[in-house]
Amino acid sequence: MTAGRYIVRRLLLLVPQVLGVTTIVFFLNRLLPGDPAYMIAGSLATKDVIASVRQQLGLDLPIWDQYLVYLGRVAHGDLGKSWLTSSQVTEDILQRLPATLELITLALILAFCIALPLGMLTALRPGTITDRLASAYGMLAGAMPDFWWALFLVFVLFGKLQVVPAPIGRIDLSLLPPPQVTGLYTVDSILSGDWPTLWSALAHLALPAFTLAFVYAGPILKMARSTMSQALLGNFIQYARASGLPRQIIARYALRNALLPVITMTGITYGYLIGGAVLIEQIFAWGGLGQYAVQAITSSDYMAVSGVVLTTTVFSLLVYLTVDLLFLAVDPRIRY
Amino acid sequence: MGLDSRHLRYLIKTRPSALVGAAIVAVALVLAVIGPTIAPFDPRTAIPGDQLKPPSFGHLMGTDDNGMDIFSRVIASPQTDLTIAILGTLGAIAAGIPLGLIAGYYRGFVSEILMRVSDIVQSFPVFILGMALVVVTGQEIRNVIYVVAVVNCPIYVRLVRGQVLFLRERPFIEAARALGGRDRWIIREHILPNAIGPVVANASVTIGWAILLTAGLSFIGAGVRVPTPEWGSMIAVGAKNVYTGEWWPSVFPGIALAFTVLGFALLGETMVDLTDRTRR
Amino acid sequence: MTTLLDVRDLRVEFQTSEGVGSALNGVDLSVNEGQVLGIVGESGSGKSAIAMALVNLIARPGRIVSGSVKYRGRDLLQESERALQRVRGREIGLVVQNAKSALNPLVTIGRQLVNVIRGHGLHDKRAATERAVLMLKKVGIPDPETRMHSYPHQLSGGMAQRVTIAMALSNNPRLLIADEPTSGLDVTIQAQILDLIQALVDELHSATVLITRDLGIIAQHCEEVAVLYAGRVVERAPVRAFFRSPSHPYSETLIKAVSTTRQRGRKLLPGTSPSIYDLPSGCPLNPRCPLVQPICREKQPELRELLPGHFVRCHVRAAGGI
Repeated sequence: MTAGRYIVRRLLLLVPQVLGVTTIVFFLNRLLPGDPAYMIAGSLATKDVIASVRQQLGLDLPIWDQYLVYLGRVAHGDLGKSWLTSSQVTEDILQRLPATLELITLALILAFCIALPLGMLTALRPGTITDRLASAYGMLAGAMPDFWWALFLVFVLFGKLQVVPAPIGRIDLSLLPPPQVTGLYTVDSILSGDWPTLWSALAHLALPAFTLAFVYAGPILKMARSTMSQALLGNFIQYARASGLPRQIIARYALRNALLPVITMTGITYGYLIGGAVLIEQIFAWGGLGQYAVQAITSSDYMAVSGVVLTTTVFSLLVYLTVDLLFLAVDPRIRY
Repeated sequence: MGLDSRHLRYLIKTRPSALVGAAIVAVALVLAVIGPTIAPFDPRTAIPGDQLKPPSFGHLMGTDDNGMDIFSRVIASPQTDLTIAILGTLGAIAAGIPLGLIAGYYRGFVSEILMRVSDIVQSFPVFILGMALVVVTGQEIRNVIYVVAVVNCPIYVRLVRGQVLFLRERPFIEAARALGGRDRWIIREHILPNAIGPVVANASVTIGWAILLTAGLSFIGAGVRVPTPEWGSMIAVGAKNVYTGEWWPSVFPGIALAFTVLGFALLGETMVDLTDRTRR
Repeated sequence: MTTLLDVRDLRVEFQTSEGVGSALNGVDLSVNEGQVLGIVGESGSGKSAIAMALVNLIARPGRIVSGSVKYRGRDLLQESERALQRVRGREIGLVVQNAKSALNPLVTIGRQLVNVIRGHGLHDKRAATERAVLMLKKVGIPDPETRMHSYPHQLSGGMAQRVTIAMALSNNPRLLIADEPTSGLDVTIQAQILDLIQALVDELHSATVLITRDLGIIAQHCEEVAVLYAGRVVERAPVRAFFRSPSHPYSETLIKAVSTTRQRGRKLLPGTSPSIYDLPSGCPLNPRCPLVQPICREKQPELRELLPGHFVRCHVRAAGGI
């Protein structure tokens, strides 16, 4: 099928996926312990008050109706109200999402920029010291718990060497965040020309982003190296050598073929990180989506929980969609 | 598959990492069984007055701020972590194999639905889903096992389905059908044995991830409950001390964790490579 | 007639989990300018390793153990990678079996062809593209300008093979090595491809080494034939003389196996070729050979010239026996 039809088909697939996710989320938070009406009304409320709150929340309706009401609300972007923060979940999420996005995007870019060239180089020169070190790193980094590594780095780089700022948030306590355009402190401070804030934001981003990048570059590096080596063994590479093509062209030929699984792996990592960065967020007091999720889950704030799960899952779905579209661009066998 | 001594010798010569992995896994398995019994101190009892002692001869890895001996807890953890990881992985495989077989062998509506649901479960951010599920069902070890199983199940469904799709087109399956074999028999006798390879190979890798997941969940407070010895929660307990310079409550469990996961990963990678090549 | 390619005692080994396999056990060959040499062999004869060995491209787990491959006097097995790059694709062209897998699936065939042309002197992109289109036309691909933008998976097997022939001949090599160029193709296409190769090398006055398991192809297209068995050349002769009076017992059985005259109870050699991991001592044919003598189990025979230009590697035949 042509590229156009493939794209349309793929986009259409998103609809049932989001629907499925919403359904699962709805039923998931039905299972959360604790009675939301009770929590919102407060522990001193009388039975009547609780009953009226319940009615307000629509909890006295049959399940099917509740589901439809929920679907309707979600379609309008209304994810309910968090009883913990007393504000709209959508607002809460929009406030915290940029923090997480800024962190994981930077981390992912760093990871990709480390992993891909390194993987390529080591596959082209197997058996050398660099190759062995890189393979060891790839294996070790993937096994390492990111939260432990973060603690260790904080201890060394902040505790002992004082090279990075204290792990307490996204910028210095003494500074104000830049005027909100995107919510990403780096971008916003550039947009408003606020250089001291930019510097502070970057300084605070450095360690958490580096920690994530260090750990998650490992699996990407392994994948890059392995697919690159595989590609180099391919028949067409042998033939390209037999045709006397220079080394750069051979490397490029192999890279083209090796790229696809690496892209997939990077996409999967990105989708994982939006939820998986929570541990790092906790350690660095990042104020992002992950921390919000932890609070919500442990306090049975079921609207907030479902809001977060929904948001993060849709994010993953969009990432996978992007990966699929990238595939389309790189691999002609899908197109024609 | 058939490994004889000649193949093993070749394996050892070309892949020393597999040996290292196997050794680590063996140690971990042994500790999982006898860890708590050979521990010098009771891993669950706090000794008041012994808080935050640095590593010494009496306490090889020091004590944490509850006064518990870290070494004892570190070697007692595999019992928790490995139990969860192994049983969880087995659960994922036990559910994944039949679902994958069905999804691969029978085309049509059922198979499509299975794959769509599997896709959706996979698109949930693993960590948040894990957190939510554990809190919803309660922080029992049993529930953490279920969570590990659910989270990893789609991987095996997909893996088995891929194998089945590949195999069902093979001439020997057509021949079996032509000879009048019933579907269920074909699946059991012919497809299943051939599809198992990658599943077994990936199991080790999955176990490694499962250990990391458990540790991560426990670190956040959504996994195993204190005082059950578990590396992740040990790291969490020691986290606040890192800032004041007492590194040992967090560092040692972290190293143990990384090593164990590494062992499973090394072993698993080699197994995946092996089963991949024989297929080719 | 100058010797273009002179191969002496070429030995290639493969190190796998099955052990050490001797794929080539001392191959001696020579090809003169403009000559067409056919190498015929069955599975296990080593013919799959020969093409790559000739351009020093044996990859792990194989390796070239010893011997020399002298192209115009220079031993390719001793040359640097840089120097080899200048020879491959320029002086020596290679065509392989299964052309589709020899082409990069993610790059258009035009680009791949242009890369080969540019890699060997013709740097200017436009000139190289023109030459590429010309080559595609020469190998009989219709509508070459459009085809330049096709991807390998869009081509049929025969078309893909034509493309690789274009790649191999695009820089006017002096020697073309064709490694089973027609296996996997339909019979009518096979004939077309072989005729194409023949026509093009005639035009370029290139020498050809044609590796195949099909004696018919040898008969139709080659001037000389070398028979490969268990990694060594066991007979070498001009094609006519070979088919008229083959000397080596293995050659006889090869010819008998494809003979088109109706036969009852023809006597072929029993058994199969030996495994490269487990070669018999002495002459490798000895377990199967009807002429076997005690010396055959002890000593490997040398290649001896029985008649002018007709060489055979057999104790019995060299001594004039029947």
